[in-house]
Amino acid sequence: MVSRWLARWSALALLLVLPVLSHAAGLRLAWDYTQGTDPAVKFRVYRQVGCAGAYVALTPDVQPVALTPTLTTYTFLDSTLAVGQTYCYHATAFNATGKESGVSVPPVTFQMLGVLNDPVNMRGTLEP
Amino acid sequence: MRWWLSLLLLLLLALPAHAATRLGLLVTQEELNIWRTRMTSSATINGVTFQSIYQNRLLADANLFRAQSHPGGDGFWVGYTGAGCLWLDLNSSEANEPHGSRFFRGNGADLNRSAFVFLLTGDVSYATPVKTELLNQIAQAGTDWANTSKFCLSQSPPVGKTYLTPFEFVPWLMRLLLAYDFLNAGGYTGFTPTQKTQIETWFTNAATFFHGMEVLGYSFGCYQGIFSTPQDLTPIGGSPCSDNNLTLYFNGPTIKFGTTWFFNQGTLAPLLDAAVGVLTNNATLKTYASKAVTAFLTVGLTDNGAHDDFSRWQDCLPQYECPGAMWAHAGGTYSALTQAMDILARTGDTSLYSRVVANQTLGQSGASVGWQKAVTLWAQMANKTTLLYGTTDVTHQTTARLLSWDTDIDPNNPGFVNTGNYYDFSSMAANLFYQDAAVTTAMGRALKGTNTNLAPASCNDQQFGGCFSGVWGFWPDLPFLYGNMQGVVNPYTLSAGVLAPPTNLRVVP
Repeated sequence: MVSRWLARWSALALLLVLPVLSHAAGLRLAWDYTQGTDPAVKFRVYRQVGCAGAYVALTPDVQPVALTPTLTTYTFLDSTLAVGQTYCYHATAFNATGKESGVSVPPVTFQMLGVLNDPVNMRGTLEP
Repeated sequence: MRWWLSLLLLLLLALPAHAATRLGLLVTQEELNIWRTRMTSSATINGVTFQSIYQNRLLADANLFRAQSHPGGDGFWVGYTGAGCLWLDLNSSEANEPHGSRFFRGNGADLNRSAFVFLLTGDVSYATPVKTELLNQIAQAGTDWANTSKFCLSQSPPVGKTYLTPFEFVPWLMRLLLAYDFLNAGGYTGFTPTQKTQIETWFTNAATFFHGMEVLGYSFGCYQGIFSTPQDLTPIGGSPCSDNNLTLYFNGPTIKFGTTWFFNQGTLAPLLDAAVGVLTNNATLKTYASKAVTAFLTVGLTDNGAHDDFSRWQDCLPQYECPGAMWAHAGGTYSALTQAMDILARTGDTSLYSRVVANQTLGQSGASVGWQKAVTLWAQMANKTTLLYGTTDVTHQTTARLLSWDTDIDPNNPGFVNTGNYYDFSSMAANLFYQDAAVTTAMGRALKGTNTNLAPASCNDQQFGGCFSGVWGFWPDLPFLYGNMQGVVNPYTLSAGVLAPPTNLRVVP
């Protein structure tokens, strides 16, 4: 069911190209969620390497202690990126019985061009 | 033709209420909508209006709690501050228990009602002190359930002490847990994610500890495979397990020693497991609960739905026969098992409520038994359509020994004190599922006295947090929540609803 939804929406993917990441921790994704009449208890983020082929679930699932009924933002950190690779992402919600929602639309596409390391060992000298 | 149309109309009216949207352990959106109308409703249950119940038994108690100094208000317990392991002291069985000041065995009942009033009204002034108490409580070193030097499962108790029972710990924990759940169900936003994790970890540690104690308790019993996979309910053969124990009522069955493990105090750990298991989506705890309840329903009931607690009219022997003690102790079993099954059923798993099996209880004949049979029997006793007497003496079949709600005997008083005991009101919750006519009649009966939570003239034992919260004080007020709700709501068939997808997926710094 999920893969069918993913395939349907992948053609609408928007390309979000960030030239570099500012640090090496990874890519942080965020999404908004408002509970429907069938309450969700957790989220799952899917990733497609090269924006082709199968979407693969990333782990762990995002399982807030309790989802609030009002609009709330949740996040996921993908720290398994390779320089030069392009990725597409979707997210879904699950209810308490394991039923999965449709996917978030549109999907997010991200191209990992490189890592811009943070400056280190900043120092100065006293002028006479 | 008109006859058929009438029949069709009746059938349509008799259809179960529509599916529900779950908000919490004990609340659906449909129920909450009705409760909110009841706050000002002049409709009645038990001879009093819902509005008066809200004002006098819910809001009044919530206001008492709100006006207290927090932390340290109702619900607080410093915990076990002594050295070494906490054991049950055989010479002082109620030492080191979380007693309250207003309700001795109902600590946290007012806190619980404050959380419920927040759920009804959205007024955060009723939620904030609940939050303060919960955060303070989980910070008490004396209630650190994960501290194995205080809460010991791997050591043997010294002379004069024995393994801890869940009574009164679990009823107190349940009041706090349900209060927390009422806040969440009402959309309370005052907890940080970290605080929620800490609170739920604390409850999980408590459930894990008391399950450990439950396992230790059953290790001395006659059923060693209750928590095995698959469950094995084969009893240990021979004496003492097959020995006769107590007679449940006049001309009733005499249960075997092995069956006496299935009594009121044994129902508490399964309830906590069910509640924490559902709250935190912990499959292990939910399985513990399900197995323990399954065991009770399979090897703990007699053929007619009675159980060990029916024998408690003998508590006052040799001096008196005290039917009120039976009604109270049986109420503990009914309250805890019903709430455990109800919490699980409200996730869509109604298998325990609907379980009917050939009885395997020692000495019984294999009749079909299930929880409805037990609940219905108790209702018939309340309605006096089934007359059971707390005696073995043929000359003692008198009204004063009738096992029913309005019979009581004060063991400290040679005279009979006929008042009213509402311990069977937990069946209001079960009757949302069963919609049993006898239960409906019993639950709608007119009561005695003023019907406030602390009114000895109308309720003979208000120590657990009032007369309307079940024996252990689990519910804020049973008649308000579930009175006359059978056939009106169906919290067990969850709405297919709309499982919304996430939106606005994006990359963030």
